[in-house]
Amino acid sequence: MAEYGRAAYNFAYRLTGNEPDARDLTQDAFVRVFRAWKSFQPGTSFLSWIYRIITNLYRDELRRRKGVFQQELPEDNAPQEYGGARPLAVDPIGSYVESQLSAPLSVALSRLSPDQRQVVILADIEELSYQEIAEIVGCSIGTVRSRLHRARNQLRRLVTKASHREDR
Amino acid sequence: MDRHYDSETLTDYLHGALDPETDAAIFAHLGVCEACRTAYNAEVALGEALRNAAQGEALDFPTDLVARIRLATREEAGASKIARWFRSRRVAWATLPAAAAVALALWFGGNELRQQSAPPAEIDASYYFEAHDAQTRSIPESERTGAIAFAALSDRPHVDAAYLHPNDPLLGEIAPGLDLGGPGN
Repeated sequence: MAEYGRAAYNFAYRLTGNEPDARDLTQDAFVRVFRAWKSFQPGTSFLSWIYRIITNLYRDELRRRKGVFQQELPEDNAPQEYGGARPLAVDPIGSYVESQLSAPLSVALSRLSPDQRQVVILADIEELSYQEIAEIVGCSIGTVRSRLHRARNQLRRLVTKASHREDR
Repeated sequence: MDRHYDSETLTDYLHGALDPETDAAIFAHLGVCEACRTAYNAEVALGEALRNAAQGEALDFPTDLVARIRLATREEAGASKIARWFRSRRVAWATLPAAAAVALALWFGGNELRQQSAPPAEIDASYYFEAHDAQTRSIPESERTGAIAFAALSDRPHVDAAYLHPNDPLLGEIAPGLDLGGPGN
């Protein structure tokens, strides 16, 4: 349990943003794991299975608390190319990392919508594939792609805003 | 190629989510396009920043949470054992009403049979009187002895007066001084 417990707990913590909720979520998830043990497919990722359970529980909890869950984002996720010479501005993330300001990035992460946060955590922190994320979150790969792009753009905006604030 | 890839495509490239052909094209493009390489490095940096931030605040698995989970799963195991026990006896439980019905039928049926075959625990004296009266009438008058003493036997119903011999000392005991009209009297 310790092997997966830490990963599950940290995942729950990143989703919820606080330890008490992360504890409850992790406990509920392991009880579900215990209950649904026979439904686990050997040969698949056990950790992905736990993440899926945590994600579902987190979604249920959000529904319970707010009554309404985040609306699905449109699946306008086809890879796009643009012509011409649009200037690619130097991303503020590079300088942000250099200045070791990871705490504001965590704050920015917490400001994302739950849907977007899940996808960023799974894609960039857990480094799972879009396919795995789609299975965990229970949506299409297109939706994963769309959410990830929007989340990353949102993070960039928040980080830029934070770095401008510090410059003043 | 004079076009540049947008950040979405570069993000997909970073996450290995593109088809092999597009992936190879971007790989080649990044080798010659400074602008796209910068944009791609920014995407890489964002991912690294997120991982570093997560690593920096990674939490240990709380020991009390381990205990809570063990307790919860143990309770769950107890509950499932009970559920399994009930499930394994589903067939037996299904037959329980039928078994109960059979038992009740046997019980009441047995009582009925017992009541029909066994003598009643307490028999009213009138039963004996009526029965003995009938028996007395079926006996020739010359042989009757106890019929006269019938009234005197009302308090001793166990005595079969119809079959008392006229010289039976019991007659003298239960009806002293009576002239029974017997052959010997």
